[in-house]
Amino acid sequence: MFSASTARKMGLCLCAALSLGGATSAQAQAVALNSTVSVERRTQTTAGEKVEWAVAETVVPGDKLQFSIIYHNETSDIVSNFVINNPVSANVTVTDLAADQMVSVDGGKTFATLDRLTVNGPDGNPVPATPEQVTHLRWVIAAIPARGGGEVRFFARVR
Amino acid sequence: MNLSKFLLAAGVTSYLATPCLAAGVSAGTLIESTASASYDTGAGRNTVDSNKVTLRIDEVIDATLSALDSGTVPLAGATATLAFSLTNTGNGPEAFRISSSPVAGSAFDPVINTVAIDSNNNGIYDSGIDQIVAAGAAIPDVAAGASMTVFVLVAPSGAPKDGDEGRINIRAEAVSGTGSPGTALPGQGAGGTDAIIGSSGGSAQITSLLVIRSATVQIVKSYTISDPFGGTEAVPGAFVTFTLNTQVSGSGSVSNLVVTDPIPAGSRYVPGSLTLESAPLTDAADADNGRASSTGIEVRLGDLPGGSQRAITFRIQID
Repeated sequence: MFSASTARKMGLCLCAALSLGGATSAQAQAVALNSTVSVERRTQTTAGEKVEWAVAETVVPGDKLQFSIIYHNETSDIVSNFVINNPVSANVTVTDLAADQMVSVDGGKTFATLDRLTVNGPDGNPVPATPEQVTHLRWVIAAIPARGGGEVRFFARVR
Repeated sequence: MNLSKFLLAAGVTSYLATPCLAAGVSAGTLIESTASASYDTGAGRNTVDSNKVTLRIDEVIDATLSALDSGTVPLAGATATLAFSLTNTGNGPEAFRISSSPVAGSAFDPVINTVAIDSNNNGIYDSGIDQIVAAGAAIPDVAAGASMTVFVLVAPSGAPKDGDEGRINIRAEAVSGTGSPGTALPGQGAGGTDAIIGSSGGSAQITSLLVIRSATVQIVKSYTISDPFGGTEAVPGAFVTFTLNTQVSGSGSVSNLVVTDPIPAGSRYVPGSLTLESAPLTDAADADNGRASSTGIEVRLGDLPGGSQRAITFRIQID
């Protein structure tokens, strides 16, 4: 579980010493990839509102979710040109996108930052894409050092 | 209760803080996410998929109730029909029960007589067409995000006077359950999901104001006599002209008002003498509103609002 302040840091965070207890890999992959999801829970305390990220199996519309993808280089060699793709469920809308987050609004065909993407408007002319239209997220990591790893995250709200 | 349920129940404010999402993703839907990655090693390009994470959407139980009547509803006669729009603002199909409670300070308490749903969707209560909901029964499922028009026929209790105002609180309660927002109802949601009480508490209520619109009828009967000797004595052969002054008072109206008067014993009706508002009415039972015979007169005044009055006259001759 992440603290609220850590959780607000969006996007890429390289943490070489990260523990990977839950990572599994069916085949002998050089990189292990592990997805987790947690749900924002706000509670009122005497000290004010407390925000926690809880593991949950069920959610309701409006709930805010944090998806985390942890990767780890299992080998003693460098891994390069590491690209993570994550399709976004049609039942959620991504939120808190970092300005440099690569996204797709066309089902993963093309990727760019959201401000550079358009969709066809009602009159057929292109209009700026919105977070509701994001279908995929992409992270590009130049290299993962031997035995190194890291984590990327994104936030979404249940539609 | 596992940890997630506990957090769900404790996290009340997260539901309150959430903007009103009409319906939202349907209860029972799964949210699934799998990441994939590709990368280069000394051996070439590889790809890897992550594990799949899955979340199930629970049913949120929420409702709103709004009045379709504008302002104060007149209660004239035995019942008044109130119309409401019941909206299922949750994300699963839900049935609701309608109930009422009195409101303090009312001059009289309206009570529920009948609950019906607008089966033919015309916005008007059609007796014999719109489905009646048995007392204590639930109205049928309302789909997530959908609205249903519900009619509540209310009757006055006690003996209210014309102009008395009465308030009634109409409440719609989700059959799956009600309670504090955030309360989890395991297994009570659509498709075997858990149900979560939404910000409405799983119920909605609204207060309607009714005013008694009644009317009373008073008939003042007077007469003048004209005897054969130029006087006003009630002697054989004298003519008596009766005037029936019918007055309707009150803020309501009367309908199908019929005035009848028998011909007194020892006298005879003077044929062709019946008038309404000075206009003659034929004695025959025909298209006009009056008829008269040797036994009595009858004038159909129809529907009259409070404040109206009508004068009927007819003549008899004393035997």
